Amino acid sequence: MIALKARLLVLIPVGVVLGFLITSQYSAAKQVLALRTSEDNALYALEVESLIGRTQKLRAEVTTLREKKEDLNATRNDRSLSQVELEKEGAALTVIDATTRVKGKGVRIEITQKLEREQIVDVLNALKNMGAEALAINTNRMALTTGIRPLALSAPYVIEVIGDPDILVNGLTRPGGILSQIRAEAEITRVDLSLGAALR
Amino acid sequence: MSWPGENSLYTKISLLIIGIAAGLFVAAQAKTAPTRVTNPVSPFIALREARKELLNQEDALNKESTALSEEIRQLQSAITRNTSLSQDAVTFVEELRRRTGLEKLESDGIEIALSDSPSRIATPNSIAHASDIRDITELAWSSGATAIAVNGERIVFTSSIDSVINTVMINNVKTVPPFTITILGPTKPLFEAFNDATLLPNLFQRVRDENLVFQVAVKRGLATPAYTGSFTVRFGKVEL
Repeated sequence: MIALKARLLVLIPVGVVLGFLITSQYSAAKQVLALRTSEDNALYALEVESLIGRTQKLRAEVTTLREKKEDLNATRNDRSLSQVELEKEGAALTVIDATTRVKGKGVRIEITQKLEREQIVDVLNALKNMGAEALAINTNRMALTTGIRPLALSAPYVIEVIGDPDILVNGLTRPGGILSQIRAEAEITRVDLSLGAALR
Repeated sequence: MSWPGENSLYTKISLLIIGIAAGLFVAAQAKTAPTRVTNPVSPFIALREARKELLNQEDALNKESTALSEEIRQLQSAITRNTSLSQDAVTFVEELRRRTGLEKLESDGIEIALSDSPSRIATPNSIAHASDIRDITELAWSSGATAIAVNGERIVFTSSIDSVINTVMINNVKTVPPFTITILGPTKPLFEAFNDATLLPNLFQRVRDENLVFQVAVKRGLATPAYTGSFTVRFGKVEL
């Protein structure tokens, strides 16, 4: 009976060790899985969010391109309509090239705090991503080849953007948007704008 | 090796009851459908599937957009070849196409190689970012550049250069390091600007401390390809 009890007593520490090991393994596996999936989830969520925005933008772009192609197809054998299409293309490219004064709906962004040049570059980049058609900063109309450095900008900054006001306002004010990324407080107003030509 | 009462009916029944209870408990745990999402892997799989589907859609839309833009360019070229049109207007539009990046340009310039550090484990400071390309293009424009392309993608007025997870997106086209940045324009001021550490302090510090790849070379006869997209102007109107 004593030998049997001794053998049973040996089983207790063995059981405790086994129990400890099993619990540790289970807990570790759970932690590893949680870490891996939360990290991957966050990355995938970010990418999916970005993809949704990009595909929406692409869909709208494709719709506009289809319409433009139909218009061009309908006019190419007609001299007067061709002349109209040529003038339409010239007008659109004039806006993009900042060759002449341009007017249209958009937003005015007023930032009073001092910004680093890189932050201004990031804001202008974000506005282009939101579909900006014409831009001016502190009354300087921006063309493709306009650099920030020669403008010697200083606060307060008034950035005027012609483009879809809804997209611009939502893109600027959403959490995680460009203004929150650069930690800038801004006053954003929907306005009808008139921007001068770029200096070259 | 046996203990007293091992073979008794009472012990056998007790063990049987315990076994059945344990079996029921395990089966219940395995079979019960959760009423809420508690498995962290499920949303992960859903996100992965959504990403795959959206990537396919993006790819298809990008292809359609590129094809439509090419057709539109051909139709617009056909219109400008129409000899009955005002030649002043044709010349004006052709010049605008050239200036806005819709035509391939060739001239002398500089070529910049920018890439992740080859010798270190990736850290935020040892990899090339979209923000580096934005800073480089800004310095290039400020130094007199006339045209820029990044990995063959022409920078136009509407181009944004964005970071999307571990890729860089330019004109809706994804690209990854190594980046070749082709800059056309006056070679001397461009070369000097990109060799002045005070003009790109963050980049030069990472080159020094983290071996980020950043090399600048003057080159003759460089070319920037034409922008393959098209411009859509819906809100801006020329003010006469």
